[in-house]
Amino acid sequence: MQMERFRGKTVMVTGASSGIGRAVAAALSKEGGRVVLVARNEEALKATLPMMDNRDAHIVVPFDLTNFEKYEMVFQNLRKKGVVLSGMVHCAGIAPVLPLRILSRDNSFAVFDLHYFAFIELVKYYQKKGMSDGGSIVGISSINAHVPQKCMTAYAAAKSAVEAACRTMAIELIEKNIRINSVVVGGVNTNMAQEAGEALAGIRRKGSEGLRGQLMDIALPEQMTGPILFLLSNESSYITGRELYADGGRL
Amino acid sequence: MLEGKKILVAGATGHMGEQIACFLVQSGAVAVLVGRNTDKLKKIEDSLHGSALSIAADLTKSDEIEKVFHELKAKEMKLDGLVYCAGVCFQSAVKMTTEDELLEMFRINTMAFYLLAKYCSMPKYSNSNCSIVTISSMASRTNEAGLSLYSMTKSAMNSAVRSMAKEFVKRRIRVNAILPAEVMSKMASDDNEWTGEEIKAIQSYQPYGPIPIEQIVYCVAFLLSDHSGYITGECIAIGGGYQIKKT
Repeated sequence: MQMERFRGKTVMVTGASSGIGRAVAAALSKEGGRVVLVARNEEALKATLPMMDNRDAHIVVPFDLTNFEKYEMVFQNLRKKGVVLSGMVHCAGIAPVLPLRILSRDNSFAVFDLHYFAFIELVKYYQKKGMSDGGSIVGISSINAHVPQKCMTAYAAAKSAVEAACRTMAIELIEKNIRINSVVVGGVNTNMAQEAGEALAGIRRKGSEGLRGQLMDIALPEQMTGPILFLLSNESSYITGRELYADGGRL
Repeated sequence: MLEGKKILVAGATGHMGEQIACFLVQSGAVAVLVGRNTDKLKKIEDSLHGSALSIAADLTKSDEIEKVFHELKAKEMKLDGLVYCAGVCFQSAVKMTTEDELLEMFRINTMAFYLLAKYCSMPKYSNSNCSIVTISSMASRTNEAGLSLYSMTKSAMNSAVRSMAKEFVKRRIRVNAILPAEVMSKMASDDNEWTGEEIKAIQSYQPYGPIPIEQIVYCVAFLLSDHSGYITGECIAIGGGYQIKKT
């Protein structure tokens, strides 16, 4: 299999400052791709560059994805730079532990803003004329959308929304020759998951567990790049509107 | 990315099996070709210039399947992968389907896969980290009229895949299925010519048209490789836009 699947291609990766997003950005660059790295924190974004090949080729876009007025400007700027996207992965996410007694409209919206509403805006701009040349979009979902875990209501609901949106948008995007799928990740060792795990440990009763039954060990972020890059590449040209589970045999 | 891996391809004489075997060899693997048609097996083996060996076997006979593994053991060859792409498909209304037809299709589509996977899971026949990939079908999910038997054989295969993934994880052997919708392969016929009208007819319910075999091959290679190291027990649909819904 050719290992230069992204030579001459530009792919936007959100959440590129940590975890799965950072690993995907690095993996894309190693296969010749140019990456548009998006995240809130400019310092953390720039810390991804040393992990990438051709580090001067990439475009760093510090941008809060929940600042919905800024999308127009961000994509206008990319267009001015002559950027035409061939792929996009939405890895940015938060996973707050929210027991029912403190779950609110406000804190639920914060989760939905980043996972779901930001994703919709990204796809809307991506599919605009001249912004992309077809290509492939990948949304990141989680095993939480399929296996209940206490105190994770907002996160599970937001990830379910991402999957539903992918399946549905796929039908409209077929006409534009754009594919869209989600990768359902199992337990992955990221800062986000660790923080959620620690917060849960504080309120977890003795003997109860979180995500039980995963067959394989917890994954490294790098182990998620294989499935994500497969869906971004032309090797999956006939797959759209689907979920690909990378969960170590959990489901 | 498959360098040095020894991979058995069952059903190697079909359109799909042959392309899979060729691609695996191009990617640096050694292919073990298994099928019934000895002449065709030999021809494919010769075309792969020493990176393949063929073992003729009738996959509907369990003793012949066992013999394949005895032969591999005699050659001190342990498998790193198994690709199952043998199978038959015919349409048959329920009221017309006979017991013999039921047994015949289950034997080749389901049981032969089960037995090959069984031997492949044993330490004497495979290395740990071995990956098993089988070609199932979208029909296992769509359950169209006239395809009751075919759909049954393939959904039985999917169930086997899910259970096997759990049993084999101890040896870090992964098991996955690919569920293609309409593929550009005329399973039973020697030629594989397609008319514009045939393609158009498929596009009416599968917007991308019939799936080129190479797309199945890429997915097979991905699942055989370490790139999919965290994926097991999955049934991965390649739909070309066919009835987009959860599988």
